[in-house]
Amino acid sequence: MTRYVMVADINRCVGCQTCTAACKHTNATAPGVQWRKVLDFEVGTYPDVRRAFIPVGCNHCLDAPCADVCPTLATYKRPDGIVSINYDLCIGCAYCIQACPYQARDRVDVPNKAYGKEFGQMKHEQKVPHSERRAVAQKCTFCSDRVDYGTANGLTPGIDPDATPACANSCIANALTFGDIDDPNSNVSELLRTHEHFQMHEELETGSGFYYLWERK
Amino acid sequence: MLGPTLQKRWDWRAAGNFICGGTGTGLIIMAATLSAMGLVTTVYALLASAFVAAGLGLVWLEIGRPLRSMNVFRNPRTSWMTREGMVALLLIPMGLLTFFVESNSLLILTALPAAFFLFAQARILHMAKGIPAWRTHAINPMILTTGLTEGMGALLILTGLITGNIEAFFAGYGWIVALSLVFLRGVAWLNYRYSLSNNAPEETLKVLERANIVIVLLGFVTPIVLLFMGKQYAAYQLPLAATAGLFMTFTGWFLKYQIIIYAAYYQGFAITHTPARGAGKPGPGLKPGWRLPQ
Repeated sequence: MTRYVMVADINRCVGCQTCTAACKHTNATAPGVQWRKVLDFEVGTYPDVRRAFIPVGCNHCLDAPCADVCPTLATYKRPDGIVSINYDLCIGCAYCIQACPYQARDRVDVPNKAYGKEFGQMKHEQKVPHSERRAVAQKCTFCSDRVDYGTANGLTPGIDPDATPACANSCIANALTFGDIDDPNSNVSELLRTHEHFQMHEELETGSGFYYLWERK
Repeated sequence: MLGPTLQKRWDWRAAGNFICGGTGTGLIIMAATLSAMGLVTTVYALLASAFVAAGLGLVWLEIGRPLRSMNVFRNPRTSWMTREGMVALLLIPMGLLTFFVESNSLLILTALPAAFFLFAQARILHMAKGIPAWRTHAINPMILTTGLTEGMGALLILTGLITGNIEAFFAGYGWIVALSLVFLRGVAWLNYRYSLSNNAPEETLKVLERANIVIVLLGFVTPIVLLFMGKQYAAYQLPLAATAGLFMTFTGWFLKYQIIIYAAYYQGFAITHTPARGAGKPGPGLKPGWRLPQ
């Protein structure tokens, strides 16, 4: 079996948002929609203050609450663990948005213009309007088209850039690692073996596929 | 940004579905219950069906792709929204048929899909894992009891439509059923608040605290007093029961509107550890915007 997950080393992440930009560039998400973003946490009070940058997005959960509640089967789990959306089936009821504890989903009815209404759509927005995503649920796909292309051509997702999500490819600090957690010899399995880690909102038992490394063992 | 933010995706139209669906199904169930106590109640099936249909119509207005709405029936295996839609296909025609044939047996039979519909509405909220105010187990009894209480309230508001009903209501066990529902909804509301206390977003708890006085005074104390007065003063039974019904129904609507529109803050983000910087040690985590167990 294969289950693709993302591992984020929060000791490495510097909060540069390059992954955010790479995701927008690759997936042409509408203004205001970020499938991958990096949160900036500040903990404590002066003089004992800490700061952490936490990349977030769809967790591609094992027991995905969004897929369970979807009345149309538009949201479904692929055999490789990626939670995907069939835009043509979705009715835009937004139930999945309420069911996701990671605030990873959006619905855009009328896309904003990046520079306001008076400037109209930018050239790239005109080229890739993605009308299939209009008024339906949307979220991070783990760049499944790249993963599919890679596996079809003998590449290894997470190792070969052409088979790896754009965010992980672009990370300047090598903080984001993508790979198959079911393969004990994969890059992500090795990282999880050698580091202390947590998943966000573990108490909700979603089986999140997004791991955060916080200390080397 | 890091703390829980208020959901904006389900607006008054979604709340309207829970309000109309709860009142409609509650009305059918209560009409069936009171018909067994000698009241003439088949006429209410028309209004109940209209309520349920109106609620579903409001949802239809809210979805992004209304022309694809038939896709809603594709996932009966796990989705309570699908199940709600499916049972509505049975409930609405049965309600209409009950009204036209004026059959008590059919009314009692219609109460079954009505109960399932009401249960499905409770489960829809319960399965929304992203919203702490909805996903608590205590939402189930609260949606069920408030739906039944709203239904009883609607029935009491219109009880003057049929001669002899108000006398039968106070002479038999009808008023005891109404009192019990008001009491049970009060208990369910307390249980709901208790289930979230110190384990929910701060903003959610503030909304519930603000709503509490209205719900306790107008939805609990007032109807109980009015129902006892109705039992005591036979000459004023009709206006007292109707006023009690008004409070029972509108408090239910208020309660649901508060929970669906104003208390529905998302989970937000949290970390269990902060990273080590330089040669330092990792630090504690953070869950912004939450009131946590002490």
